[in-house]
Amino acid sequence: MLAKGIDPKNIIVSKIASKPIVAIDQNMDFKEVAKIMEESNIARAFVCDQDRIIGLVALMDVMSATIIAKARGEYVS
Amino acid sequence: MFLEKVFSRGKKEKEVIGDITKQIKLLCTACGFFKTALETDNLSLMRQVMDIERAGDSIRRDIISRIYEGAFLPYLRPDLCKFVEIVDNIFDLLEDTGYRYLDLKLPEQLRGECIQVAFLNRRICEMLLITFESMLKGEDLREKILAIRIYEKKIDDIKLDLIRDARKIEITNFWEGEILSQFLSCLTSISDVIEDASDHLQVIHVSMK
Repeated sequence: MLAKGIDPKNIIVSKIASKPIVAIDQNMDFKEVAKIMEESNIARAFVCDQDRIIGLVALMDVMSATIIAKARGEYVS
Repeated sequence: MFLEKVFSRGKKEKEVIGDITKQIKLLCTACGFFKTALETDNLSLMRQVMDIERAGDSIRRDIISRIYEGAFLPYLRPDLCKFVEIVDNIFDLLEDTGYRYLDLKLPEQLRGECIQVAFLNRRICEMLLITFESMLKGEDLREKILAIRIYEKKIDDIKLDLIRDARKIEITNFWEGEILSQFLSCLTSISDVIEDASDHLQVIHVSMK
């Protein structure tokens, strides 16, 4: 918004939201999520149970999961 | 130079290392029992956590005796003893948490978050064991200690939610509220002490180089 010179007081969220919405299945592996985030250049994705959004996963969550899996010796790249 | 490599020939040293491993494994078992007892509201299983604490205490005494009977070089002894004492403090805190649980009726709206904390406590204990075993092999501990910190941060986040949810519960007498507050405080402090133990492993690791 700042870069485009938009006044935050006079803008609605739909104008500045990232589109399309990136949604992932709740059973998806975190490595796949990391790949999607990288390809879509996003740091958050909606987690879905079929058509219903049940949560949000952030890049930090994926990074934490990666570090823990590596530390436990469970990570296979 | 690392513990196992340097002292592999010493019988006493081997026994101490074996007992420390046993102590941490016992802690993992106690945390597992605690989590299952909380999930199933099984008071008899919760009492077994206290029995395990006594077994842990006995192992601690054996380790300290062996160390001061001459296991390891004198400069290493205080740090090893300190680590063993910190692990024992985790047992004590787990036991205190168990006693508080036996003394209260946990409101159902808090049970889910408490189980989550208990689950993470179990995972962080396993990570402490992995870190200890890595130290014996002379591996780098940074990744393992970072994982412990991540678990600890997750518990801190849940703690904030727990406190916020606990405030909504109507308390009808002082002791009911006091014991619930002590239970939540003990449960969410276990990971802090495990983190202290992992930090101390790092100190031992560095002092061996």
